[in-house]
This record gives sequence, structure tokens and C-alpha cells, in this order.
Amino acid sequence: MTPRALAYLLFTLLLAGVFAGIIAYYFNRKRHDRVEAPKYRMLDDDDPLPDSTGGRREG
Amino acid sequence: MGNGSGNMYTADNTAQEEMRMANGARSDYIVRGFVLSSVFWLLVGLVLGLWLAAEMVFPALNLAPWLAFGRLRVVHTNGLIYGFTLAGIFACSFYMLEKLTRTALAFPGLAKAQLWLFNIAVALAALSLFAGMNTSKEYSELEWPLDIVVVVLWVMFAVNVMGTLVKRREKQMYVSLWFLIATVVTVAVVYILNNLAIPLSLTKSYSAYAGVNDANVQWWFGHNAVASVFTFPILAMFYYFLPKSTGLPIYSHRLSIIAFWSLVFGYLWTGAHHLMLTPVPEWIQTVALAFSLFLIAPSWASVINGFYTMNGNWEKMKSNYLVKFFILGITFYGLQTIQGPTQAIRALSGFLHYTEYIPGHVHMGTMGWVTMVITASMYFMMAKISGREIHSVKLANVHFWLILVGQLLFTVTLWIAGIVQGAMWKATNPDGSLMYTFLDSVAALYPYWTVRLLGGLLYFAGVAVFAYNLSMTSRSKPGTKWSAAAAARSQAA
Repeated sequence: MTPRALAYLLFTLLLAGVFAGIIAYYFNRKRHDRVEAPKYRMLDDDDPLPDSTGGRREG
Repeated sequence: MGNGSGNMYTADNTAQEEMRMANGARSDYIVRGFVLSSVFWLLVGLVLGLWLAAEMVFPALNLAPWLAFGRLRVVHTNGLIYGFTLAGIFACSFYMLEKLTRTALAFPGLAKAQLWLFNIAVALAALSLFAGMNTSKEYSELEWPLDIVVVVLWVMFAVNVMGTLVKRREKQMYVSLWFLIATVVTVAVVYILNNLAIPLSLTKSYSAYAGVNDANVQWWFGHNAVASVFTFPILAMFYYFLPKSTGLPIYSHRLSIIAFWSLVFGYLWTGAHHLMLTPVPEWIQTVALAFSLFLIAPSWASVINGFYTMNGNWEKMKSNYLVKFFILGITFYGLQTIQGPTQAIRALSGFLHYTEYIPGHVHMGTMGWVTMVITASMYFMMAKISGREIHSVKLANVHFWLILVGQLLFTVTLWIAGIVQGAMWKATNPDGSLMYTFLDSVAALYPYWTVRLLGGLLYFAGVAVFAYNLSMTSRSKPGTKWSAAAAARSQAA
């Protein structure tokens, strides 16, 4: 294996490791509430339109 | 609904709130400007698309060089990618940025300048392409002076996005912001690298790459332009506007984050699937094929996230007109991301590539996924900005059904046409000679092209209804509501 091919292999393994680390970090049960918090907070600022129809009903 | 943990937003800080409102009123102008620009370029692009569809059925419509298929086609694609879609992305990005960071736009003046420069650039791009100035690299046809303008525009956008993120008051970033960051970074990288060229004159340049390398870089750009323009920012909109318009939090934020990182890791390797069975080294083709199949997983993570968000609330498909757009949009995204990777498989690529199946695939993504999500987001934003409800929900529903039926008619017809075309090209007699001439295959496609034109007309009618509905909604002055609130506060102080 040439040094160049070895470098590619190591880089690929590094990327795979980083990716696995990201999954492990976000799916760690201890962090569940913290990781899920933004999906609730994003709803705080401006509420959905009044009648939850996304707009005015006609008729 | 919210638990507020880690929230850095301090609602009682009156001075900051006052500033936010004042700045918000200014960014309303910018959002509205980009929305109207986007709708304008959408109408222009679709008129050109209709003309092109008509030229396929009535070739005599190639009236003059400026109206020849070869020139019109690039104005159509550039107008809709860089005019309609980018303007929609800018509008939604600025809107979401302020809301999700709970911070006013970092440089509203810069965004205003970007709005004007953007429209001038798109108009100049259309004129140059009409005039036949073309690098002949797909989706990257603009000549070098306009490429520089595009880069300047992108830097203006990036400065605002990153500047606003840096001063954000919401520490934890919602997934839409991650997708915006990916948009900013990937467009910059792939656009600049693919457009490196040696200028010969003001209107002509030659690619910095040659031969197979040129093709490889071109499709590395071409496919990642799809990721950066038609996937990342549209997913950002989907993840923001679906919860906002329903009041339902997305099913799983962590799943969306994993989907984000998987897309980012996988997408950049897939470009060469546009070059299957070509002189590009076989291992590059295989890597592209493998990563294309891998991408089904993160793409469907977003689809599942969208569907599960609606779990138990499916009646909103009837009661909330926006939900239909978002859910059908993500469904087409799901179908698109199954169809795309399977097209990369060598046997299928050999059969389908260069046939009408490919524009059928692309148009399901653009007419289904991209346009449905952007137009629904615009309904939401314009209602909010104008401080009033949408002009007519009935018209929005008419818009939805027209574009749905038009798009399906258009795309399904092209898939069938592509299969017919591929089969005719490959059919051989017992002695090994071709069963059909190329002209036979062209003649066989006329009925399909006619149905495609009808589908396009329906689709255009739907978009015209949307444009009318949106313009009626936006008649209120921008920022009226917020300015009034700010004035009342000042008076009280």
C-alpha cells in the first residue's frame, strides 16, 4: 500500500469515526432532553396562526 | 410547549427588544423583497419552460436564435435555480435566522443591497444566456464576470448568516440553522471550484480543468448544487415551517441532526453517478454509486421525521392548507431520493441516462418538493409579515391541486417516455442491427411531449393563482404592525 493510499484509508476511517461519534453523542440517553429542547423552543417565539388552519378560513 | 432550559432570551430587556423590533421591521422589507423577486422569477422561468415544452411538440416555435431551444433551456434552468429558488432561500433564511436566533439580522443594510444586486445579476444572467454567452457546463453556464458577481452575492449572504449566528441569543441551534450553515459553505466551495476558468475575453473563458477531470469536477459541482440549493435549505424550511404552521414540534430533533450530518458526509461523494459508464475511472463511479445508495437513509430520516410529526394529527391535512404542501413536498422528496440513487445503479443508468426519464426525475424534485415547500413557506411568511391572514385559503387549495396534478402529469409522462425511449434505443433485431432509428424514437415521443405540455400548463395555472393570492396578501405595508408597536413603546417611555 502506498503512503498516499494509506493516507486516504486513514482519512476515511477518521471520517467514519467522527460520524460514529456524532451519532453516539446525539443518541446518548443522558443528553436526550437537552438535544430535543430546541424543537420545543422554536415554537415559543411566534405561535402558529390563531385557528391552526395556517391561515384564514373562508365562508 | 417549551421547557425554556438553556434559553438565553431575556424578554424583559426593553432596549434590546425595541432594537429587535426596529431591525425586524427592516428585515421584513428584505424578506418581502426576496419573496416578490422569487415569485417574479418563478413566473418568468415557467413561461420559458412552457415555451420549451411547446417547442418539443411544435418545433417551428424555434423562431429566432434567442428563442432557440438551446438558449431558452439554460435561461429556464438558471432562472428557476438562481432566480426563483435562491431568492426563496434568501427570503426564508433571513426570516428563520431572526426567529431561531432571537436576534435581529446582523447587517440589514447589506441584505438590502444584496436584494438589489441579486435581481440585477439574475437579469444580466438571463440576457447573457439569451445572447448565447455560455460556458457549456450544466447549471454553471454563466461567464466569468457574472460568476464573480454571484460570488460577491454569496459572500454578502454568508456574512449576514454567520454574523447573525455569532451574535445569536439562542445558544442551542435548531436543525434548520445547521442546514443553513451547510448551504452557505457548500455552495461557496462547489461554485467557486467548478467555475475556475481562464478568461479569453469579457464574454468567453475556458475551464481551468481538462477532459475527464473537467467532467468530474463539473458533476461534483452539479450534484452538490442539487444538495446545496434543492436539499439543505429546503429541508431547513421544512423543519421550520411545518412545526410553525401546525404548532407541533418535530418528532425527533436528534434524528434530524443525524440526518443532517449523514447528508453532509455522504453528498459530496456522489457527483460521479452522473458519469456512469463514461471514461471517468471506474472506482470513482463505484464510490459515487455506493454513497448514492447510502443517501437513501438520511433522506428518509427526514421523511419519517415529517410523517411522525403529524402522527395523531393527520386531520390537519384537511383543516390546515399549509400542511398539505409540506407533507406532499416531503413525500416527493422521499420518492425523489429513492429514484435518484436507483438511477445511479449501472444497469439502470445504462438504460435510462440521456432519456426523458431524467428530466422527469428532476422535475418531481423541483415542481414537487422544492416549489411546494417554498410556496407554502411564502404563504406563512407573508401572512406574518403583513400582519394579516392569507387572502384566500380557497385559492391556496386551488393552487395546491393544480400544481399537484400538473406535476404528476408532467413527471409520470416523462418517466414513461424515458422508458419507451431507452427501450427503442436498445432494441435489436436477431442479426444484431438496431430495430429503430433515432428518428423513430423521436416520433414515438410526440404524444408524451404533448401530455407534458398539458401538465406544464396546469402547473403554471396553479402558480399564477399562487402569485395572485400572495400579492393580495402582501398589500399591507411591511412592518406596519411592528413599527406601530415600537412607536407605542417609545411614546410610553
